[in-house]
Amino acid sequence: MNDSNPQQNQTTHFGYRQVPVTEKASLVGGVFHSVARKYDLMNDVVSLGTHRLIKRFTVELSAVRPGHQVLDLAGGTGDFSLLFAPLVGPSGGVVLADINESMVRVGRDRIIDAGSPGNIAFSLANAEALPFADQSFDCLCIAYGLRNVTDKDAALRSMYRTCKVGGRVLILEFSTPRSPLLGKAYDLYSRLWPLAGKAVLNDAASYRYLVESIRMHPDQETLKGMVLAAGFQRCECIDIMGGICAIHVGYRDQD
Amino acid sequence: MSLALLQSALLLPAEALVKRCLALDPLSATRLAPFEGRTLEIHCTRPELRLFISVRNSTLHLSPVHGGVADSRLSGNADKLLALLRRGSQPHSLHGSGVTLEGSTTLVAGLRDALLRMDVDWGYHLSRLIGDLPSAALERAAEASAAALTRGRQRLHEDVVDYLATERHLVLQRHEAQPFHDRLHALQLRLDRLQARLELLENRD
Repeated sequence: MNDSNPQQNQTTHFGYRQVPVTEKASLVGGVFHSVARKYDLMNDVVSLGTHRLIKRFTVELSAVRPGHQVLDLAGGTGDFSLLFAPLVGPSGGVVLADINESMVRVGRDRIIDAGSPGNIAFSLANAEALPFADQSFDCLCIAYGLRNVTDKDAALRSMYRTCKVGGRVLILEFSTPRSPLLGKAYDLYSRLWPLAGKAVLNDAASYRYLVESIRMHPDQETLKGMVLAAGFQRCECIDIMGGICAIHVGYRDQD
Repeated sequence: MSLALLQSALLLPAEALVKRCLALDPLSATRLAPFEGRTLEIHCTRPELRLFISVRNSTLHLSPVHGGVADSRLSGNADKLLALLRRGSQPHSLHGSGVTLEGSTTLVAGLRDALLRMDVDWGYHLSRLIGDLPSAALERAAEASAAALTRGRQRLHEDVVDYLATERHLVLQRHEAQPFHDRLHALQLRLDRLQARLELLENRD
């Protein structure tokens, strides 16, 4: 039986652990089910509030205008959707998509509480197989989500398929600090995250996974290569805070 | 790019202040409406800095980066840009200012117009925060200070003009100084010749 499904024999990383490919999505789902309720609070704690600034900065690179269609992939608690919604205006639209139901629920509630602008839709979607027609979006944004995707290449191909010609994809993700000294300092700092997770959420394991998954994520150049391999014609990589985070902007210039 | 992130952080309070002021002016939305979705880039060449001012949802948005192409671009070094700001020049009088403008002049003029003609009823908004009596007193004090400042500036300007006009009459003019200078030069030449003859006579002895 196992031979009939080759995926069951393949493994992938879940943090530092190797797990069957078929199990990673549910394991990641478990992590986000656990942290969804206080996800924003924990983001503020571990990033010392800088995540808000970085998100705003990322949106500035989107070149989104009124009337555009935007996909906020792995949109979680809706930070990006709330930033994009006023930019696209009533003639455009934002789709908040996430594979995790708990995160979508929290995001939807938060957007409604913020006085939903009426141009945000919600979708429970797997980034590897986006349930949208070809060339649906002017801009796709995935922030702190790609490292949790089991098959990143499939996700990037799926993003390319749904990106309009002339559109772009923005990938904001933790990355590799360029300076070894900064890398060491960041490494020490990130060891505190499980302790913070324990204190705030009584859940150290989820934040241990966060730290491990960051270490396992491809560095800037590798991810740039993956974006280009998915079909995007150009890719710019912008380091944030010395490479602790990076924004990759992939452009689909032609069919 | 960390610098841009820092700039972004520094621009947040400035943007909040501008938005707050624009929100208090009932006509700002109408003035900004024609420029909705458009972006002005201010490029400071020395030190190297960029500021993008976008019109979004009838207000202004400030950012150090912009993913698209700006509709207008003002560039020059910090001194020139600040001088332009202090002077409040119209875009058509940029000649010789050291600032170059590319793209739409209408956008620059429109944004300048919206900011300069911002008419906020501070007294009303202040009274909602601290009450009618203190706000009226503060308003009177602010108006008196502003009037005194304006009068002071005007008087200083007049005094400086008077002083320079008086001094100008006392100072020797170029056309008056030139003949004196010429005579002095001729005298210098004669002295040189006399000196030479004396030396010649001394040597002959």
